[in-house]
Amino acid sequence: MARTPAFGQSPPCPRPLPTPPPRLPASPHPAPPAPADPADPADPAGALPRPSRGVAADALLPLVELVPAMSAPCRMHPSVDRVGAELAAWARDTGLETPPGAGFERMAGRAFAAFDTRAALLFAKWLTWLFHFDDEWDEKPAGRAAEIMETAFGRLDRLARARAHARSPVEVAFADLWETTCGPMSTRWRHRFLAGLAAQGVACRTEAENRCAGRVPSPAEYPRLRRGTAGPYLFDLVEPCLGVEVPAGLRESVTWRTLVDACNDVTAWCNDIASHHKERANGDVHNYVTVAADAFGLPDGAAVGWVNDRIAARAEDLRTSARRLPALFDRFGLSTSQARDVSKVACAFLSAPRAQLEWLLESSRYDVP
Amino acid sequence: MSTTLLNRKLDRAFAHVDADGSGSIGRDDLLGLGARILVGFGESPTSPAGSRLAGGIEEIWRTLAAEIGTRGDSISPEEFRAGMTSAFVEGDRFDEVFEPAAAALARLCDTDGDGAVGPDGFWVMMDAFGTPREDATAAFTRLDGDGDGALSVRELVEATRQFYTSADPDAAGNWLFGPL
Repeated sequence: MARTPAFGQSPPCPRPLPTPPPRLPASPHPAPPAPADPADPADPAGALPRPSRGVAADALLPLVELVPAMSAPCRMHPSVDRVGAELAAWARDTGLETPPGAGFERMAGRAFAAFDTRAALLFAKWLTWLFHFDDEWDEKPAGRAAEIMETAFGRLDRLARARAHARSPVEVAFADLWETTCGPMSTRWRHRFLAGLAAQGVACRTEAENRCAGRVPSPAEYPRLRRGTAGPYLFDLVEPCLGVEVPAGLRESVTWRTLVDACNDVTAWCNDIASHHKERANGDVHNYVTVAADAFGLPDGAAVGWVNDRIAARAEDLRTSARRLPALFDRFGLSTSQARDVSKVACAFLSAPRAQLEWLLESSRYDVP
Repeated sequence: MSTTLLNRKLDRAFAHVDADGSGSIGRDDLLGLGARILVGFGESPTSPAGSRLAGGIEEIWRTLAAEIGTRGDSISPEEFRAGMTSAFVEGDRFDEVFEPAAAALARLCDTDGDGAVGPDGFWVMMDAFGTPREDATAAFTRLDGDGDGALSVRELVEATRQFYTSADPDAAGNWLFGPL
């Protein structure tokens, strides 16, 4: 896959033919582990993984200066190796053949560094599953993409509602994860997850139609479309991973939705910058850099700069939303204990941009030979 | 000198962490307090300022758990009191372990970076600890000795040291979280 949405997974959208992009991610150059110590403010970029080539890094590294939340190293989960081993065993058991070095445990290990091993493992499993879900239609003829997608998304929805039996390893894995994940969660949360899945299906279908029509989305419509292809439910998974459910009123508030959407946007647009060269080579226009270049007549460098500025602005929205949460904790009557649990979820969103950045930079999959 | 006073403060500190009132605290409880503080300031654990606080809190927990001799999933008020006292009051770990976290928090309260903490920044911290507004106001007034409407970051760090380690009944820092 040429690009990944938030939290490091590839989007389940059909890639254009005839040149399918390489599979994600299998970096032949594993990065050194992220240091466990807090950032040295004098050297904010010093602990970033060293990419094997500089294309993605050159484009992304200005963000370390532009966005305070992306300037200090993520901690890595102390049990990341154990998470990796258990992840590999689970993938084998469910029949998912994950390329060695995919590094999903490292993405999850950063996003859930301070939490228990179960949280990191569950999220890593979901990332692994999403990678394989993508395979359901990857390299399929573009003309049949909409039909194939319709079937795949519909099957998952029926599996989640216990109206179908798993037939493939991807479906077996989904059923297993769904059962593990949604057990403690409310019906409302389940509906939210499934609505996110449906939204992803719609967004992917729109992209497929754009490709068939040779159409480049406008800067005004792209963020919403990209938020959809990123897989909105990935952000809902933070709650079951942490064993928390955000109360419904708070979850549906403008502030919380802005928090989640801003996190989605920042991580997805960072991914767009990393994957821009690769996607351009593959003829895919669904990339914020391409969208900006097309709409404003910008050369590549200026378009990347424009997107970086948008990322910085959206990161500020993320920060502002978090700061507004305590007033909402009071308004919705959360207890001190609930407010702290919900704050853990919010902190996962605040950390995600840097976690994504480190994960992107330790992979070489976006480099153009 | 009053050990009773210090113990009362340490019991208050325990209650700050024991948000669900279960009577025991674990690492998750302290992480919850840290997360709530960071959210109040809109600070990510991956910003330099947020990272200093998150790292400082982790270090306090590691030190405390080691002192008590537990892996730390369940610490009672008595164990907490004993561990805090032996590590940070009678022991010599405050400067190395506790002070960096206190300084990181005080700098977060200094929201415009001018070296002074106003009532708004102070309230964000107090709210995260679960301190009622009137107690926070009383605390700020008491700590702001010259009444200029601001505390220096250094004063706030010193008040923190006094709250967690001093048995002196006249220490201004006894009032860090309002009346005891």
